Amino acid sequence: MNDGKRRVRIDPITRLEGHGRIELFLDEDGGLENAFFQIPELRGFERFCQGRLGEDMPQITERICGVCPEAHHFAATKALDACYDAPPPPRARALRELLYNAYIFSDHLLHFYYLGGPDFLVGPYAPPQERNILGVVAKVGEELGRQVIAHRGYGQRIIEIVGGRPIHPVTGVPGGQSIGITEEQRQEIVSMSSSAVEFAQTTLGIFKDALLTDETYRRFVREEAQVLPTYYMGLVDEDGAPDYYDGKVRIVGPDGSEFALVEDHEVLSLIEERTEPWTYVKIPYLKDVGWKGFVPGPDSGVYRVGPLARLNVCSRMGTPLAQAEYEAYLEYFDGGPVHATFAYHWARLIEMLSAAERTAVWAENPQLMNGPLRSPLGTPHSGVGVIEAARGLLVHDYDLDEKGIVRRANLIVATTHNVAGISLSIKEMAKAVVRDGVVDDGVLNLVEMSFRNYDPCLACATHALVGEMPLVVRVHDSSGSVVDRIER
Amino acid sequence: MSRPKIGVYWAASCGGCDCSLLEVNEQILDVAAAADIVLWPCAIDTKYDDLRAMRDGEMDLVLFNGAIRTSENREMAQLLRRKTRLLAAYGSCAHTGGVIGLANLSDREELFGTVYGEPDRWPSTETEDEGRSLELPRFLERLTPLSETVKVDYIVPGCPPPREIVSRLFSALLYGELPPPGAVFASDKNLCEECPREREHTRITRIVRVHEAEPDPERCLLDQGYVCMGPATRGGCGAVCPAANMPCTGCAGPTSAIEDQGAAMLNTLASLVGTGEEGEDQLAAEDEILAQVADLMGTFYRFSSACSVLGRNHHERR
Repeated sequence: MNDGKRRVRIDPITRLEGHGRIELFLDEDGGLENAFFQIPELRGFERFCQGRLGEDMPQITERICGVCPEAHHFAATKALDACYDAPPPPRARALRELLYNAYIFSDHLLHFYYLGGPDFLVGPYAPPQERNILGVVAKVGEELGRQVIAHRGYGQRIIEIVGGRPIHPVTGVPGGQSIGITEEQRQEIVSMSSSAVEFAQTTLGIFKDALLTDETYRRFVREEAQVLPTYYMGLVDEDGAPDYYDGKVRIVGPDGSEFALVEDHEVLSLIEERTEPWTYVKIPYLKDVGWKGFVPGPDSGVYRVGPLARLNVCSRMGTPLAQAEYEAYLEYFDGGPVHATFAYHWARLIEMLSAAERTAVWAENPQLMNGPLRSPLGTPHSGVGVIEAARGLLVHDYDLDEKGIVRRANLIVATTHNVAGISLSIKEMAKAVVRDGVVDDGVLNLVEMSFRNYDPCLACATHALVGEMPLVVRVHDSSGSVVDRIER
Repeated sequence: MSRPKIGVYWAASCGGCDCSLLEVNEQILDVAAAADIVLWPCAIDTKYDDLRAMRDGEMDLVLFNGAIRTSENREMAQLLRRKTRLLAAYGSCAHTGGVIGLANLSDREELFGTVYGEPDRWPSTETEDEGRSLELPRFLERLTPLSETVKVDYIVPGCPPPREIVSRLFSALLYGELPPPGAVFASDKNLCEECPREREHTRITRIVRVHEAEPDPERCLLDQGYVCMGPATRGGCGAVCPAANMPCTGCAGPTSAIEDQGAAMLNTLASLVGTGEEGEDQLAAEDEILAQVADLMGTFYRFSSACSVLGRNHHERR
């Protein structure tokens, strides 16, 4: 080790899904010399999905992530629909939409109150033992705290009613759903979803009262280092509104212009996976833009996904209350696209409201209660399923043999798409806040806050089929010399 | 017990077990009011240094989810064993290895080859970068359940443990009524005992896969030819999967009377198949039906291959 240099390890990084740690190396002057983002785990789904029965994939792949199992469950089910040429009948589609929107609501709520939100609701410099959901309850009051818990419970209960279980649902089958719901259950969902709409509005009110007035938050949504003009990718419906369950893939550039609008299964043709001698695995980027290293801007194929991206690729929200919030959001940033990484929090809550409204609409859909649950199946072959996980676009791509057994499974998860963005955000934040050798808890938490914006799921990223998470990411400056390297 | 200190930790896991603790809804506030949650990486900011600074036995109960896949998982299990009085294997991965135990069907070279490609692209436990060394934990040759690394006091089965079981565990903690070590927080009867479907022990003439037909929602799934793991699986969840018209996949592991979950299920199935043929043709016909189970490990050992006789032998043979 060099004299006068220090090494600071954040281990484990907390309030996210999965294992990770950050190593900071300080120079002689106490500034940041280098930052390393390590993910010390692997489970190997890549391998053991081979040889499994295709129809078991919805229940096997959801064990990649217990925070967003619904996303893997239905990306897998949709891939199987494609493998068997069996789009689900309207009733099954309605059931899936109902469950899926409830999941988006519940998952976004979890992030705001339990994972990323406490940094602002309790405060970035609050004592670490208070910077959590219990600190949030203490801050906002027990009455609201109970509302938080109750409404997460409503989302989970809807998942349980439609999916059979609140975590790791079981009802998705190729070409349909295994079971419907009763009228009594539907009534229960109607009542829970209308309460969810109100609670999402309450939550946006809290965001505006607590975050938009918070000096740290206001600084971060404006500060140049936390603003990354990149490409964005997300699913939109035919009216240009975000669609979490299905739609076309739309990509916009840093200036907001449309770069691509393609059928969902065609997304794989737009992405190239980068391999370099100095990285262990692949990093996705936009093929037609090209790879220019870990840099933002119109000439770099780096793109981002998730709430911020979805609000940048859509042209409207599709539901009235979320639309009004979306307009207020755009006005705050003087129009889109919004590149501020800390705006992920705001975008996430607008989506939480939109998902609650959509849940309420689907709960009233007459197709939910009548008609067949499954479509007839064709002969299995390969197929792709694309869905919006809470954290961004998720792709399951399977190759089944004639007996419906998995020969090959490839999957690109939300956090993988965001790897370049996350790496850049950690580096920029660490550079900005590590000064004069002062690396206290508050400073380290600011570094952690930079990745919490993305609500990263390292469980997903490191357990992807055919792993996509880079093990070593070097950050180059404009001259091509290595200025940083992020590693797992 | 005065104000108990509890911890939650994840090893090789998916986060579903952590989420399952929230499924008790408001009861989690009662837990927080009566106990100090001093470790829970997905929810609170306790770092490993804080944990190492704790006295031995400082925590009263640690809920450990996830299997032992890396050297870090193993070291954390050993550290937590020292820091807590009681240690629970929480969820399928800690209990029986879980779905990810299926990785034991391949060796490390095959796993890394599929994930990373050529050996020169594999991660290494130590990396040099401009004079700075970075370490990664070692990927162990074989995934194991928690009990192969340290002594386990309680088992909380399920993938993830269902709400009623978690709630019972919390109640026991809150009222100072934790059972003696060795307890399993679930029923010791098999799932069929709590399944409302009607079972007639019909002879199975054909194995049916879940996508091939829509099952009758009232009749036993095994009677209809679906491989439902109920007979070889511990109850306690309320048979939620059969209630959703899907077969049990065995996530809670076997009852205490069963040593090997997959073998027990295979036995059960073998006793049920038949075409009504007599004599020599009978065995051949039965074998033919059993051979319709196209994925033995994924069907019979979905959650328990890491602690099965077959899974171990398979690995040792390689």
